[in-house]
Amino acid sequence: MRSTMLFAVAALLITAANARGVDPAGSELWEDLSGAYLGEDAEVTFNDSIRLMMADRVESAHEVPIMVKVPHDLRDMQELVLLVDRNPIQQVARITPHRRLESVGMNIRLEESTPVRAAILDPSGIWHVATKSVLVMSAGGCSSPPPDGAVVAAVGDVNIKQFERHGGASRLKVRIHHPMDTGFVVLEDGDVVPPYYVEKVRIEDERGVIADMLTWAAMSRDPVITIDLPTEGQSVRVSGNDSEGLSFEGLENAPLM
Amino acid sequence: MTPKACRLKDSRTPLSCSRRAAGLARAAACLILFTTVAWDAVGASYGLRPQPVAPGVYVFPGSQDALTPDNGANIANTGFIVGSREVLAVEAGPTRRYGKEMLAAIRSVTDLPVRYAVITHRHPDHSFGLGAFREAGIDVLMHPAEAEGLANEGPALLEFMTALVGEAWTQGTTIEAPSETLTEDRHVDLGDRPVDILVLEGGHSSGDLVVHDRTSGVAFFGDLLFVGRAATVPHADIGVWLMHLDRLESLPWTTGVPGHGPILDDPAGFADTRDWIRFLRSRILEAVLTGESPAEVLDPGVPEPFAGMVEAGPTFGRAVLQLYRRYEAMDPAELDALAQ
Repeated sequence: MRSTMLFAVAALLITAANARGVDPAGSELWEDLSGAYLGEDAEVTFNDSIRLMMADRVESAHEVPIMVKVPHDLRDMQELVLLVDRNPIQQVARITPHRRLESVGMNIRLEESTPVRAAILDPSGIWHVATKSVLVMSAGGCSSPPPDGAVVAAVGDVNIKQFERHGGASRLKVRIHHPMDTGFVVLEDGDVVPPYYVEKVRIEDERGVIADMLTWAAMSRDPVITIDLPTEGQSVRVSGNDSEGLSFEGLENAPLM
Repeated sequence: MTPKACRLKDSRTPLSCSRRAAGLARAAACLILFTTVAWDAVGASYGLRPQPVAPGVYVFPGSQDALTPDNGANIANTGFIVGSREVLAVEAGPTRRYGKEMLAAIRSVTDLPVRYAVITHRHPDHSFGLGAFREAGIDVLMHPAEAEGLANEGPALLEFMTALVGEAWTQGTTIEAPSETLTEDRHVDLGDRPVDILVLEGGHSSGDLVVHDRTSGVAFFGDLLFVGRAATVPHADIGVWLMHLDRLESLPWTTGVPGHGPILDDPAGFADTRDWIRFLRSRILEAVLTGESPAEVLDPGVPEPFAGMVEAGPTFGRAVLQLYRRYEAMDPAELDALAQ
């Protein structure tokens, strides 16, 4: 009897905690982070059915591939926001889909060990958040020069590839050639590399806009954006601009690989 | 496991130091040294003991473990061959301290001079100790592309390694160049002891050196061979590497010393390296061809039968990113050739 009551109280407490959105990663930054990027009065729930795929141990912090698998019941999402608690640039990207998207991926920078968040806004105005804690073995993904030091060849060049998936579904893979300078890299002579990054990306095809994205320099150099569509895109076009006002565009007419 | 006298930031240090010391005076000296900077004299020790594998051939087995503060990055197998006139060392170990201890341990077996040190390739666990050999006036041999890679990547890797194992081990280690480079097989005579140094380019690294002692049949394969441990592929061309493994298997060797893992007396252990690098190539090639993200390849973890290998998880994590980037940059014809 007593144990049943204790159990009931515990269950109530757990329910109450979930309703308030207690951070599974226990990050003291979460309250400010969610307030700043999801809204002060946002209703937030942590949702395990969103799969946030990425390595849990990272050595190459300048370029960490991540993939968010959107569960069926959230594919009518209004927005998808990627956040990194312990980055100097916490907001990576905000994606507004105009079509149902099954997954979204990109390569991002991690400054140090941190929780990473994928927040999905459902049509009723509730944010569903997936969290993954990542151990960064070699810190400085935002503040140190890239390890191979290579110069980006042609800023604004866009490559688009489309891959067939099961049942007529398709994957779009877009690479934008861009340095994505964070503004936090100090060179040996003391000079700071000023911030310079892709700000806006639009992906569309013959049927209209597929998704609009706002992006920041927490995306890696030469960012790769992957989105999964339920049907093949026709004559995909990618356009956008960067923080210096450079516009770029890429077209894909090639047949499926 | 490893005797550690007088390690930094260890409250028991003065105690263990005085326990090891013969008398009060030495203990006092030890404490004084400890409070200054004389790490070389009293710091961590690798406790290297030469293990005979054939008459005149010895191995210092590395720990089958990650880089940790316990092992001081001593994870690779090193060794030496003793002729009637001189000695050839294989590898320099991960730190200057290791190199020095290796030379001292060789001295415990023979008074003959160490003439050569063959560094099989650039990776830190094999090459970072070479300063100790250079300063002892020993001919240090490496492939030129590996020497160049060591010079370019060494400083950053030394920093990374220091963060993992601690400064007590890496202090005094500097990135040094070999005294001589070679691009073709070389034959040396250590005095009634003909030894072949084979150059195998473009497989595991730009130029791996293999040491084959004809007298005993012992071969030091370097990191062309990993046994029981996941082979690393940062500079690898897997197709060429597989061909090199065939060539090495057909050499007249009776005792095989891999870069990592237990010593072999037959080629069955070659499967550990072959199967793993074949798997990496086919899995990552498939991902590039179908547009899978590296995140999706890594998500399920290391599959069987590879999951049980030492360092399988971290090595898989690195290998997927390294090979994915390389394969992704290839044109369709190159990818086709790779898929064959």
